[in-house]
Amino acid sequence: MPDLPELDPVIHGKLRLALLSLLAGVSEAEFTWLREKTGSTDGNLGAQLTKLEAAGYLSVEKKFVARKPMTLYRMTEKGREALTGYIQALKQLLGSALS
Amino acid sequence: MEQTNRQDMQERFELIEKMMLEARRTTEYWGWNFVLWGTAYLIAIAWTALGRMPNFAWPVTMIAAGVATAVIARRKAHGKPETILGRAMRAIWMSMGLALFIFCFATSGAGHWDTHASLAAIECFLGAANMASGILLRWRVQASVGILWWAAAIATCFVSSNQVGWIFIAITLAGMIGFGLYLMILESRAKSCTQKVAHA
Repeated sequence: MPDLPELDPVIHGKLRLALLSLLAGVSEAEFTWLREKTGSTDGNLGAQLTKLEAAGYLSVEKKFVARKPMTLYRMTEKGREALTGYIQALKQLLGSALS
Repeated sequence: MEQTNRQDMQERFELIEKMMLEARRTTEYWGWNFVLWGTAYLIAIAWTALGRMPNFAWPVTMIAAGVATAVIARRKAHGKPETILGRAMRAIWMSMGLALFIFCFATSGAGHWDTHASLAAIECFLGAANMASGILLRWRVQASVGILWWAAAIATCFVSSNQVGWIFIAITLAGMIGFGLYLMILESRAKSCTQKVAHA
């Protein structure tokens, strides 16, 4: 029986997985948009985004637009590779669970 | 236990799919814009036929619709991320709009406006933009709208001068206002279906 892959613990959290999946489809996204799409609270969302940033999966840019602060998040190449790897591992695990 | 794991993995797959779809949705749903332009066409037609200073009907309504589109689009886009698909769609429709603008002003300004040929060309432009969007989104409904515009263009070339206007009104009602309302219904349904993601 082949070795089963490990799932990346950074991505495995549901909110973090949702965030990476959202950011995979856009060039960059605002904090408020991510909050609206995930239905998360500010505190929880901020904490999970910090974890993803610490892992190098996201990059953050803070700027002011019309004197209002704006935080933009982008998925890094490392994050994209990690999400692809996670999906592959999930497929493999699901395949072994079915067989 | 194994059943739970499998269900959990399945749920994660569904979550990934749903979120990717949510991100893609930011590029869709321009229903209001179809309704706006369709209404502008009908106002311009009515003004030309019934109102004062008919020469101003098309320039005024088209410029007003253009300004309204820019203002509403800017407000709606605020805080929403840009996608590559969204940029591609915007490129198609902006190019088509500018091409239409140049065509209409150049032909009418130079005194070469021919109702049959010019309306058929406009319908071809709109058919091309709808077809390109349909192919890009892999959405048969919009591709079908494109075919409908092209069918109207062909019909325009073969009917009498009196019927040309009616064909344009009919295709505007179906291909612009009807399609726009359909898009708006889809948008409201999608919004009501959005569920919150379980917290980590």
